[in-house]
Amino acid sequence: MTTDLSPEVPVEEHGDDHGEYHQDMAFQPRANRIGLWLFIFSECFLFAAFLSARYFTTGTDRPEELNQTLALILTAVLLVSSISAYLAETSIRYNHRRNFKIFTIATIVLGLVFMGGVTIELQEAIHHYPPGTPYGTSYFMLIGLHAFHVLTGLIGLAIVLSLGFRGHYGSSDYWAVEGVVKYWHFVDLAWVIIYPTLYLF
Amino acid sequence: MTTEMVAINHEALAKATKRGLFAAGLLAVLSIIEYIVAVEVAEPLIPLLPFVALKGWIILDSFMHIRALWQEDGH
Repeated sequence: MTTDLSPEVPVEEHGDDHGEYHQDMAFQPRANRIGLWLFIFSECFLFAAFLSARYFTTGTDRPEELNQTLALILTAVLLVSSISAYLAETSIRYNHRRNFKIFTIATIVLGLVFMGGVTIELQEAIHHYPPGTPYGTSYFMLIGLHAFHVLTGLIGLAIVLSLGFRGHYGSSDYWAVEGVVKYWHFVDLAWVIIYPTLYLF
Repeated sequence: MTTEMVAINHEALAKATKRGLFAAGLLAVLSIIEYIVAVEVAEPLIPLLPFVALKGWIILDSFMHIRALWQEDGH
């Protein structure tokens, strides 16, 4: 038996090398976390480019027709969804499977409500500041980019929920939940900056 | 053994939940103040920046556990 692991030989055939293999796998969640954070940092640059475009084109000017009430409600909805996502992750971390499912469903529902609100917002926006105007360009790009991230977050949450219903995840194996929830919090974090950029400054 | 483990998990879960709800409450209060400042102040860009920074840090720290990145045990 040699300790040389050639790529052609499946790991299962190495018998005694399993210990080493599993030891390597023990580092996987930490490596996953670092990978996810690198992805999030790269996303920050993308949002930063779009945000700076808004200030470059229109400064801090904003139209009077902005629906402040709806934007505030959407902020509250996204904030509450972040709490429910946090509670879903915390629940599975401590093996509370029932609460994990309940809070994941709540997060998905709140995300859908947010998307509904954004749709209403866009319908109003297209009349008052169409995409051809300087503010409209920034507005539609930022809202569209963020909405796309909300949509992908919802898909991720739906996958995690579906696997949760099939008995996946537990206190020692919840990386997928953690990853999706972290992404969801990033979506919330992006909104914390987008909301004042478009509505308050 | 199993019952004891579950009991410990419930206690830890309650503690983590409390911590999350506290952070969320703080975010809600900051959002309300941020909105009031934006409505009341004529040039709100500079006064609002600390609120944005603080809210961002609360999300990064309390919800996204960014500090786990440089801690030995990860999470």
